[in-house]
Amino acid sequence: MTASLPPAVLSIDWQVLVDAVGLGAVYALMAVGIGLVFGVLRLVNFAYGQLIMAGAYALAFASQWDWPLWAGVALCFAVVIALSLAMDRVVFRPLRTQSPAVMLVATFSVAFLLQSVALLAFGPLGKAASSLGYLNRPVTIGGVDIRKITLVAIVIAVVCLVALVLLLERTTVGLHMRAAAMDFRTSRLLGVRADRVIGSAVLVSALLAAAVAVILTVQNPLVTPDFALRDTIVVLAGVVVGGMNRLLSATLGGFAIGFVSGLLGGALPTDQSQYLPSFLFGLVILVLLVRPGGLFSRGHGPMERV
Amino acid sequence: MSPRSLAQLGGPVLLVLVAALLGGVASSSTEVYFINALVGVSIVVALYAFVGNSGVLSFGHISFVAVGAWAAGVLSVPRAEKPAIMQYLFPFLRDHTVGNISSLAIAAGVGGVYALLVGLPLMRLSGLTAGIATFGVLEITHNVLRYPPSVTRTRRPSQLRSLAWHSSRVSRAYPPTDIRIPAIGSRS
Amino acid sequence: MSGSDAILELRGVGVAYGGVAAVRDLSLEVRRGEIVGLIGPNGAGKSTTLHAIMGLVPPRDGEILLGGRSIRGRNPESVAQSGVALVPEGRRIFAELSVEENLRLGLAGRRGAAGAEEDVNRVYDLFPVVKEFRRRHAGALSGGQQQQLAIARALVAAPDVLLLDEPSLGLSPTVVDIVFRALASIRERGVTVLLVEQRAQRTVALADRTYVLANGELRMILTPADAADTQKMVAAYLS
Repeated sequence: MTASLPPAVLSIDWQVLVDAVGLGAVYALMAVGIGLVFGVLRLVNFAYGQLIMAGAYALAFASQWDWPLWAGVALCFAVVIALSLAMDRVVFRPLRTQSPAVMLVATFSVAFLLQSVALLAFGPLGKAASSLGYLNRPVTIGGVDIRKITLVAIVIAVVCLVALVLLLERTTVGLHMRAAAMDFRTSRLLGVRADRVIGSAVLVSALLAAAVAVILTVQNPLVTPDFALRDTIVVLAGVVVGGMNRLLSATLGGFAIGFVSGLLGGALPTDQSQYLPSFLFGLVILVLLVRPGGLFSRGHGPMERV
Repeated sequence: MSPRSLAQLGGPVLLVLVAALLGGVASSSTEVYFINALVGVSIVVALYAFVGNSGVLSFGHISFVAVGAWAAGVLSVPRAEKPAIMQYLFPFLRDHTVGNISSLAIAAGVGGVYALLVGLPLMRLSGLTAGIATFGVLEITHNVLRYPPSVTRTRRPSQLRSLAWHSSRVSRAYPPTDIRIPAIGSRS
Repeated sequence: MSGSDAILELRGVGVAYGGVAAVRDLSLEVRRGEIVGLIGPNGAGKSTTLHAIMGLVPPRDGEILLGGRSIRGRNPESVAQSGVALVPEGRRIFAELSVEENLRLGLAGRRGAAGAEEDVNRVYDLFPVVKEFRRRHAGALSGGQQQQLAIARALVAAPDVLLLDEPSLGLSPTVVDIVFRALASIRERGVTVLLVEQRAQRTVALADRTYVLANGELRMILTPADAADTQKMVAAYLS
């Protein structure tokens, strides 16, 4: 007989807690994707959500064409990687020498452009990506209903993060990426190839976006042009709250804001639930006023040039 | 002002005047485009006053526009029609209706006060942090105006849209003034 | 003046920052196996010269030749991988990485992975303190130790030419001794050195030839024999 978990922890019931951790896990992955590119390029990619949207549409089309699951996922990864590399080549690279404000507006424009293209091409009503629907069903653990996808998301996030740490700490490319994020100019003087480092960061960031696209389409099978837009904005806030200048603090910030958002979603009474954004961003503003350098950062404030 | 900057201003001013005049004589369906263009110019100028000079990107400025416009809108709905659309207004807001000029002033005032309240604590932030914090202001403003609490509890969030249509219809006689209402409200 | 074994050569190089000329019509050469000094007062354009060689700033005019081939206009990592290593001003150590990782970074400039182990060991012999602290965070090292690490990091790339930008800046006399002795030892191993320094006398005494730069222009060339000539030294600085 399975033992039952206590009904609640600190009067928050388990289901809300697990869902919040799941959301935190997904947001942590997105935070890493954004943080990696920021580290080497000092550029915040506002169009990151659009990469996820593109991957989601790929999954939707694969589902519509009755492709097998693995083919759909492969298409998703291919599309996201291709789009990321194109973004880097067409937008980031020519603008690398420009001021941070220009780069910011550029990525903003790319985000809106891609969204509009999707709107024109696919219409506002959205497509369904239904291949992995069975993961949306709950499994009962110790008397608590948890959606399988939530568990899958947490596992994928942990695996990705471990793989990333190994990449950064144990490989030469990882060492070069870390050094480039600390001091790009000196790294180049030592012979670190700028385009290789940037390309690697963009590639890893794209892999993470594709993984997130898969997870999110299971949770919300309806893919619209503004898929993952809200999530991206929230993750960006989380990354800044956590601390932009180090990958670790950015990731923790992404997790934290996802976790808090999930808790708020479960804890707010129903007639107040439409104010979730207000509570969330109210907290964000409060934290930023108290610790502008980031909650988890060490010492000095962000080194970004914006 | 140096004669050179006066000359530089001349072009844009002329453009704005021409647009306003053309808009005044255009049919009501095309008028909208002129109004939107002029409102856009006003907002951009207001944005430049802050962002251009400080270099700090503020995403929240448009919320000042929204608050000013909302205030002007609420107050310029004709008194007779208010109870029909907005039943839960505070008595002060319900019983008063103002004309175009006053609503303009009120919009500017309310927008400005809001900007000051928001700006004071946020002024010490910079860079991306300021961007995110001001975006937070935008989110909260948008959230609250979409689902307004007891002050002006409209029956459905969409009431605000009919409100906007109403105030624009009322002040059609003075198109340039109308568009300036939300615009000046955003100056901060 | 151009010798057939000039490994690094500048011909009429001019560098400007936004319209202000930092270096004007500079010609110098470094022959294989030499230590060449470049001295001058603050703002003379010494660092700018090194930056131009490394590709950090494009020269407005003139040519920069490495082994007879032009490296003008190449990007920094390309210059580094052609066999030129820079020890930057202020060391530019990666404080959050370990000493060992800093050295591994230096390997990025190698022209082939073969022999990396030996070069690392040779560098450990040259600078024992780097070996001793190799697992520590580089930020925990003192200024002198970081300077040694910076030179070590440049050496593991097995460069043909080693450029140093004011290595003795902010260091105590004992450490300066260590650095200068290491430079002599480096020359013995066949690495060519271009040394930018503020310490005029020691540089002139050590180098085979020392160029004196002031206001972006070449003023004179000194030899070790001039090191004892106080008048000449003062003139070099006040020019």
